[in-house]
Order: sequence, then C-alpha cells, then structure tokens
Amino acid sequence: MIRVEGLTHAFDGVPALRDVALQVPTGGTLGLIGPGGAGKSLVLKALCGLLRPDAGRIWLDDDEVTALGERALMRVRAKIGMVFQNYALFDYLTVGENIGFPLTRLGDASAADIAAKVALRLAQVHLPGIEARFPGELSGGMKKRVCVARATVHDPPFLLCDDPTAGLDPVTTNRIFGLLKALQAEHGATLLIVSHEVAALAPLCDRFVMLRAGQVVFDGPPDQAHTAEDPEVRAFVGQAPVFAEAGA
Amino acid sequence: MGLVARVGAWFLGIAAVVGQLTLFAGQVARATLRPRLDGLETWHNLYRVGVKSLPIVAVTALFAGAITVVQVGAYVVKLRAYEVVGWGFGFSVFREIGPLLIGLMFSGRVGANNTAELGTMTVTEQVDALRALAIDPIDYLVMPRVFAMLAMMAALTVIGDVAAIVGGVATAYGLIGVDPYVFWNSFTEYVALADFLNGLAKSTVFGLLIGVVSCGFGLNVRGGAPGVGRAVNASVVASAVGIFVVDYFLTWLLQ
Amino acid sequence: MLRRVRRQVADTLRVGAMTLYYLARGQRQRGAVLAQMFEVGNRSVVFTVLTLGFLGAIITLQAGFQALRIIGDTSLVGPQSLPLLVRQLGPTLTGLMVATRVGTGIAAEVGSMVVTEQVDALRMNNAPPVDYLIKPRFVACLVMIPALTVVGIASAFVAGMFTAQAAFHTQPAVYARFDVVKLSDLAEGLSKAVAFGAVIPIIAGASGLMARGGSAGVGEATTRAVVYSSLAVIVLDFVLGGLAFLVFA
Repeated sequence: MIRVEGLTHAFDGVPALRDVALQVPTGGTLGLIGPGGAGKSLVLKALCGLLRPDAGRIWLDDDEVTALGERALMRVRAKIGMVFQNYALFDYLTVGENIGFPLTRLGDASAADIAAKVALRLAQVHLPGIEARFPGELSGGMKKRVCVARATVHDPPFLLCDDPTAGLDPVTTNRIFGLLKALQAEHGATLLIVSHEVAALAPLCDRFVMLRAGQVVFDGPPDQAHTAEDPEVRAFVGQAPVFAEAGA
Repeated sequence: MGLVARVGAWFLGIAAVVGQLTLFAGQVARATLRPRLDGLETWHNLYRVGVKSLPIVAVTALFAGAITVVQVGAYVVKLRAYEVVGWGFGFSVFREIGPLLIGLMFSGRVGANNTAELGTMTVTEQVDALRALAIDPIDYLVMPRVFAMLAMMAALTVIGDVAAIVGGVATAYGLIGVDPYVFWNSFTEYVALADFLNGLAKSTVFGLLIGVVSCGFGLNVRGGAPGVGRAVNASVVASAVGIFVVDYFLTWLLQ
Repeated sequence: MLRRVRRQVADTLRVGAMTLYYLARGQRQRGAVLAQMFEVGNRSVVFTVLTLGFLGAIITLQAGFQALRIIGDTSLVGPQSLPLLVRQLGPTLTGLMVATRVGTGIAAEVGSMVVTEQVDALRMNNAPPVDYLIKPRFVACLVMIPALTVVGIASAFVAGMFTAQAAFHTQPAVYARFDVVKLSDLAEGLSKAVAFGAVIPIIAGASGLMARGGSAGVGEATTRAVVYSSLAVIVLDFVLGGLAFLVFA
C-alpha cells in the first residue's frame, strides 16, 4: 500500500505542496485530480524518491521512501512502474529495447526471456511486432502505450501514471485506461493515476483525491465528488459551471 | 552506404549549411542597406551582450596574457633576453592570441546563447507570431543582435587587451622575475599602434561573423528541445571554423 | 552571477567524484564506451583537422612576417613554432575545439534527456545517470581527446609547412626539424591533452544534468557547457604550463 503523510515542499520559497496526505490500499486504485500546477506530478516524483520533499513521510509497503538513501531507493524503485507525462522513452533505443530496459537493468533475465516478455506486453497494448522501430516514428497514442508496456514489463507491485492520456483522443484514452485496469487485474498492483479526464477516470477508481495549489481539497469516492461542499471540486468533476462560482 | 556516397552526402550537407547561411547573410546585408535599427532593441541587446560576455572575456584575456608569458618565458630564460618579454608578449597577444581566444569565448558565450534564444523562439512559434504581426524578424531580431555583437567585440577587445597586459605583467614578475618596469618598457618600445589596430580589426570581423552565424542557425531550428541543442552545437562549430578561416585571410591581408 | 558559478563548480565536482566512484563500482554496459569513442573521435576529426590546419598556417604567416621584418630570414619559423605547437597551441586549441564540438554535444544530449524525463526513467530503472550516461563519455574523451590532439598538431604542422613554402619559399626540409622538440615539450603537451580529456566531459555532463525547463533549458545548458569547459581549458593551460616552466626551465 501507499501512504503519504504531511508532504510539504517549496521551490525557492514558493510553496508547491502543503501538508498532503493520502493512502492507497494494496490492489486499490486512486485517481489524483486537480488543475494544472496543483502539485500532482510532484506527489508522484516524491513517491519514487525523484524529489526529496522538505517535510513529510512516504511509505511504499514497509519501505519509508523519505528515509532511504539513493542506493536503497534503487531497490524500492524496482517495485514501481512509472508512466511519465512526456513519454520519457529513450529515443536512441528501439521500442523493444525501451520496453526491455527495466528487465536488463533490474534483474538477470536471459535475452530470450526478455524478448518473450516484451512481445507479450506489446501484444497486450495492441502494438504487436513493432520492437525494431524507434520512438520517434510513433504517434502520441502509440508512444503512451509503449510507455505503459515499459512501466509494467517487470510486473511492479506499484503502478504510477502521470497523465497517461494527455493530448489523446477519447477512444485512445478509454483504451489506455482499460489497459491499465487489465494489467492491474493481472497482478493485483496498487494503481495511482494522475489525470484530467475525470469522467473517463471515475469508473476505474476506488477513490479520488483532488489537489489545488498544493493542498488536498477533496478525498473520497468519485461519486461523492459531485456533491462536495467545495464548489471548485464540483466544478472540476463537471457538476457546476466554473465561471459562475469564480466571484463567490 | 558506400564510402563515396557518404563523403558525397557529407559534402552536400556542408554545402547546404553554407548555402543557407550565405542566403541569410544576403538578407542581413540587404537589411543594412535600408537601416531601420530598432533603437530600443539595439540598446537592450548591447547591454545584454556586454553584461553577458564582459566577465568571461576579461578572465580569458587575463589568462591569455599569462599563458603567453609562460610560453615566451621558456625562450627568454634560455636566451637571457629578459628585455624582449614585453615585445614577444605584446605582439602575439595583440595580433593573434587575444582576438582568437576572445573570439572563441565570445562565440561560446554570446553566440551559443543567441542561437539558443532565437531557436527557442522559433520552435515555440514566436518568430511566426512576429511575422503574423507584420514585423520582419530580420529587422527586429537579427539586426540589433548582429550590430550589438559587432560593437561589443570591438569594445571587449580593448578591455581584453588591458586585462591581458595585467595578466602578462603579473606572470612575468611572479614566474620569471621580470620587473614590471622592464616589461612595460620593452612592451611600449616594440609594440606599435598597428599591432593593436590589427587585432581590433580582426575582432570586429569576428563579431560580425558570430552575429550572422548564430542568428542564422537560431532562426533555422527544427524539431523541439533536441533541435535547439543541435542548433547551438552546429552554430558554435561553424563560428569556430569561420573564425579560423577569416583569421587566416585577415592575417594575410593585414600584414 | 557568482552564485551560478559556485553552483556550476559544486555540481561539476560532485559529478566528477561520482564518475570516479562508478568507474570502480558501477555496472558495465557492453559497447557503450566504444560507441561514445566513435561519437567523440569520428565526429570531431574533420573539425579538428580543419581548424588546427588553419591555425598552423596562421602561426607560420605571423611568425614569418615578423621574422622578415626583424631579421630578414624565415628559416627559423618552423623550428621555433613546432615546440610551441606541441606543448601549448596544439593541445589548447584542440581542447577548445573539442569543448565546442563535443562539450556542446554532450550537454545538448544529456540536457534534452533531462527535460523529457528520460533521466528520471533511467533513475527508476537502476541506471544512475552518472553511471549510465556520463561514465562512458568520460572514458571515451579521456582516450580520444589526446588522440585528436595528435591529429590536430600534425595537421597544423603540415599546413604550416605548406604555407611556409608558398609564402616564404621555405623548403620543407628547412621547416620540418623534429629534433627541436624536447621530451619536456611532449610531456607538457600530453599532460594538457589528458587533463582536457578528463575535464571536458565532466563539465559538459554536469551542465546537461543541471538543465531545467524545456528547450530554453537545453539551450542554456549547452551554453554553460561550452563556456565553462573552454574556461577550464584556458585555466588548465596556464596552470600546467606554469608547472612545466617551473619543472623544466
């Protein structure tokens, strides 16, 4: 399970995260929503230890991420699959090498095993047989699916997705969300998704957490967000016109 | 691809770059015929170019002076000819080492930065936005920059020569034990105004060259953040080659 | 400004120390060093030959004009400039050229990997960026920059020889006198080339890893790489040249 307590961070004195707390039970799915610049990506970076927060504690199962050194973090990161916002595919490696990368660096699997696993994942993301192509030759939706394949190739118990459907059409969006859910079902991974696609996201999630200006403004089941007290939360999930509330 | 084909492709690539730059230089030259230098932008660029490059040029020149004295020192000590340190130093620094090193550093600091800046403006469609507002990017962006780099290279050479003398005198005193007074005498006796003007002329041409090359590469960037990085790389490489080639011909012409 | 310089120096030292650590303890990547050596050497050799060739011609012209004016004889131009070329101008100008060509290349490459989150992806997969990206480039530069220096000195010398013949009718046999090069000149030149080879990839790599924020960040990292590595070349030239003077003179 994922547990975050009192997460606080500032850049050059400008607060970016303020006392953020959230929890995802093992096998659960959390949707982290909120307007741009609210600090959603920062929470994900802190979860992997890519960002050292000023204050607060983070646990992934029994590992306290915020207390570990870089070397111990490498072991914890091996348990995380991360889908990056900007794809982050290595543009000098082929698609096959990209997806196989976690297996070559994290374990001692044989080349044949890796190839088989890569082929399996590519088939699961409906892109069979494109191992030899380079990321630069793919469309945005294909890159995202390759990203999902790379993030899940080593069957990580934690799957973190930073805006996995940004800039994609609704059909591809639903396909990617479906894919994440299917891969989660395969291994019972704990899933945390950052997204703006509130409507498409809601059916997947056990719980929504909404951030605004670095603070948690809502934490509860998706259907309760429609009736939240905070008008901006209601507006964000599509229940109230934003502009009418702006002056209030 | 066969070797011949690769060499051919390589030459074609270079020819394309040179051709593109020449066309660009032509545009700039045409723009100078009907000078409409945007006053505010020009002041702004003069200030930024000067502020950015002054510290690095001063440090470089200081060390260039020191390095030259170290190298001349080996001969001087061997021949016991302490009174010619100032001459050997002044001649090589003013005419050659000074303009060359200052030019290369200026290209690295200001030229690279300029390509990066214009390249970012290009990939983020800011240059297209200017065109849409009927503002000619050559007049508005390029001319003030080229002028600022030309003027600043000239000014920095004067400052650089002074810094080089300081570095030279200090090193000659500290390392070889040449009295600053002796150094200064041999310097003023043998080093003529011609040497100084020779270097100044070179630097000014380098400034023009760096301005045109760095703007040309900046406005021709394609392909996002990696494209900007590649353009900066290509721009400093082309400027360096250009500086050496121009230096060769100027040395020949200005003997 | 001083704060930025201090940060660059601190980051460079940190990356340098980590590179040495990973040289001893890191994971081996098969073929990575060879690929980088090809990148560093192959892509700079034409550039080095071209610029250093012109440098050789320029020195010969300058020295020749001066010799004509003062002693009326240019026969000493070759023997006088070769030692200078070997111990100072060759290594330093090659170093500056490589700082320009390879330094910006490394910073641009690593910088774009930082801003597109590829470096984060590396860190997620047990591939520390210094171990995975900087170390192979460091080893490659350490070998290839001295090699390029030799090529550079040779091309400057040959170009100088032809220039002397064309401009002052100095016979190649008079110009090319290798016995004037002393062991101390070779030692000074080589030590500079090795020092530049060690320092340039570290400074450029650190600049790339410091990149922040989109294409503007990559451009800024590239500029920092060329400025600081050129400056390091010049400072090291002074320090090592001064040491050589004290030891040999």
